Amino acid sequence: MLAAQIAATIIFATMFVLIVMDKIERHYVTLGCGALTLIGVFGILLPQNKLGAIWDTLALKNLVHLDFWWADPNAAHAASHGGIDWATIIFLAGMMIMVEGMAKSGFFRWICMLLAKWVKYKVVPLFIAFMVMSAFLAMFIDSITVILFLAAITIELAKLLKFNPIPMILAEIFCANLGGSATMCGDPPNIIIGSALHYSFTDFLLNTGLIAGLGLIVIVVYFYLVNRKTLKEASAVQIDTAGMPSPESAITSKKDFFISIGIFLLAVVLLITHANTGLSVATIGLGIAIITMLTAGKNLPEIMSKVDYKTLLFFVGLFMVVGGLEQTDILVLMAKFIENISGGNLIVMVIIIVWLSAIASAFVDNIPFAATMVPIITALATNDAMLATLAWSLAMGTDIGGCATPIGASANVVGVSVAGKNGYRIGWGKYCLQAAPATVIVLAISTLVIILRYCV
Amino acid sequence: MAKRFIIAIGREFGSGGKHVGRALAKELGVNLYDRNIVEKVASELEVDSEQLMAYAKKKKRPFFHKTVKGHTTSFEDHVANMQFDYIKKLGESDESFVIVGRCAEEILKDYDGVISIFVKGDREYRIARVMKQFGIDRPSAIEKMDRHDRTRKYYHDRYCKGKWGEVDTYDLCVDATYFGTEGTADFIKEYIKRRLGE
Repeated sequence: MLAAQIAATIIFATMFVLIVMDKIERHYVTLGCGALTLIGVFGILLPQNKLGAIWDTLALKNLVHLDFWWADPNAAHAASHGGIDWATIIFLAGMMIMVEGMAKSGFFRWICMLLAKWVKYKVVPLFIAFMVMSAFLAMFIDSITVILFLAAITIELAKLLKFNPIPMILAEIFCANLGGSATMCGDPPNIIIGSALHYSFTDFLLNTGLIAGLGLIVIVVYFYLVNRKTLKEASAVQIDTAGMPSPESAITSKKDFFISIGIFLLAVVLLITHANTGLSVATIGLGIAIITMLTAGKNLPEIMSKVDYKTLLFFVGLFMVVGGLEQTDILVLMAKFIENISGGNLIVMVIIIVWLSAIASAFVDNIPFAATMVPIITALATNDAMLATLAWSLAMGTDIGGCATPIGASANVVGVSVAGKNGYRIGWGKYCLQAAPATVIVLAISTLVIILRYCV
Repeated sequence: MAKRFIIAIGREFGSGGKHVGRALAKELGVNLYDRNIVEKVASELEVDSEQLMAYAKKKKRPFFHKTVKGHTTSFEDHVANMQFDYIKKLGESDESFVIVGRCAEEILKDYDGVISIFVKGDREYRIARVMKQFGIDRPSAIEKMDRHDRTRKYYHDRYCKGKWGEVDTYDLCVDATYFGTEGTADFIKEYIKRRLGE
C-alpha cells in the first residue's frame, strides 16, 4: 500500500506543478496523470482490489442509477464517494451549451448595453451597476463568459466615455468571483462540493449566498473608495451620449434571443427548485443542453463547436487523479493531520480550511484543490451540521481566494486578457494592489459569519 | 516593380539588417515597417505607445502567467499578437513593403510575393559596428550584441515554427560583412528582381 500511496501522491504533485507551469494544456496534464493513476497506482501498485479501484474511480455505474438523475426529495442522501463526478461534468457541459446559445443571440451584450443606458452612461453609477450585474450573472452563468462580455463592453464604453477601464474591470472580476460563490452553479468548486455532498441550489444560496451578499455590499464600497479619484475625474468629462450603440443593436436574432432568455429562466427555476423536484444537477444540465440543441436550428454546429470540451476533459482527468489519493487513503491521512493540528476544534478547522483554501487558490487552480478537499472534509466531519460548516468554509475559501492574484481564477485571467488585447496592461502589482485587500476583507467576513453562525 | 512584393528581413544585432531594410525600402520606393508597427497599433487602440513598446520584446516570466481557453495574462503575448495582426492586415492589402523583424517571414508566409531574408555578419564586423554606433567599448558591445541576439532568438522561436537565423527559415541568408550595408542592399535588390522575374 505504501508504494501505491507514494505513487499517487507523486502523480498528484506532478499534476499540480504541470498545471502551474502552464506549458502543457491542462486537460492533457490531468488526463495523462489520470491514466497513470489508473494503470500505475491501481493496476500495478495497489496490493488488492485493483479492478474494483479502477471501476470505482471511473464511476460509470453511477450513470445507470436512478439516484444519479432523480432522487426522492424526502429521503436522506449520503455524500458521494470518489471517482469521476459525472454529475458535475454533465451539468457543466449543459450550462456551457446554454451559455453559447445565449452569447450567439446577443444576450450578454444586450444586457450590458441596457444597463449602461439605464444609468445614463454616468461613470460612477455604471461602475456600481456593472459590479452588481457581474455578481448577479455569475450566480447562474460561468464567470469566464460573464467577464468576457462585461470587460469587452467596459473597454468599448471607456473609449466612448473617455475613462480608464482598468479599475472597472478589476472590480467586475472580483464581483464575478464573489457572485459565483453565492450559488451551487456559480463556480466549479461549488458544483463539485454540492454534487458530492448532495447540497441544493437553495442550500448554497442560504449559506454562501448570504456571505457573498454581505461581501458584495462591502466590496462595492471598497472599490468605490479605492478608485474614487479616478472615477471623479472620469465623471467630470462631458460626453455626448446620443451616439451610443443601442441595446437592441446587440441582438442578432429576436427569435433566438427570446428562446435563449426562456431557456436561461427555465434553468434558473429548475436549479432553485431542484431540492423539491428531486431532479439532479446532471438531469438539469442534460435537459437544458437538449432544449438548447433542439431550438438552435442552423446555429447548432457553431454552438457545439464553441463548447469548451477541454475543460470537461480536464475534469475527467482530475477526478481520476484525486481518486488515486482517495483509494490509497492519502486523503484520510490528510484529514487526520488537519484534525490533529486543530485538536478537533471546529472553529480552528474553519479557519484552517477557509484560509488554507484561499492561499492555495490564489496561486494554483481552485478546482483540483476543491476536488481534493471534499473527501477530506467528509472524513473530518463527525455529523451533517459539521460537514455543512466545513463545506461552506471550503466553498468560500476556494472561490474567494482565487480573487487575490491575476492567475487565481479563470475570470481573472480572462479579464486581464481582454484588457491586454485592447492595450491595457494589468500586471501583478496593479492587480494585487486592489484585489488582494478586497480578498482579505471578504475572507475575514466569511470566517466571521461562518464562526458566528455555525460554530458558536 | 510591377508585381506586389513583401521583403521580410530577419537580422543579427549589429549586422546592419535594419539599415539594409531601410536602404531597400528607399530604393524600391515602398514603406518600411519595424518598430513603427507598435506606434501604429497603439494609435489604432488609442493607448499609450510607450507601454506597448516596453513590452514589445520583453521576455515572458515563467510561473507568473496563466492561459485559460486561449486567454492569457501575458501582456508580452498580447503586444506580440497585436503586431502580428497588424502585419497580417498589411499582408492582406495590395501594398508592397519591407518589414524588419517581428517574425514577419512566418506570419506572412502564406501571402504572395513574400521574400524572406536573414542578414548576418562576421562577429568582429558586428562588434566594430556596435561600438561605433553606440559609442561604447568592446566588452559592452559584446554584451549588448549577445543580449539582443538572445532576446531576438527567444522572441522569434517562441512564436514561430522556423528557427531564428537558421537557413531553412529563410529564402536567402546573406553575410553583410563583405558588401557593407549599401552593397548588401544592392545585392538583395538584384536577388528580388530575379525572384520576381524582372
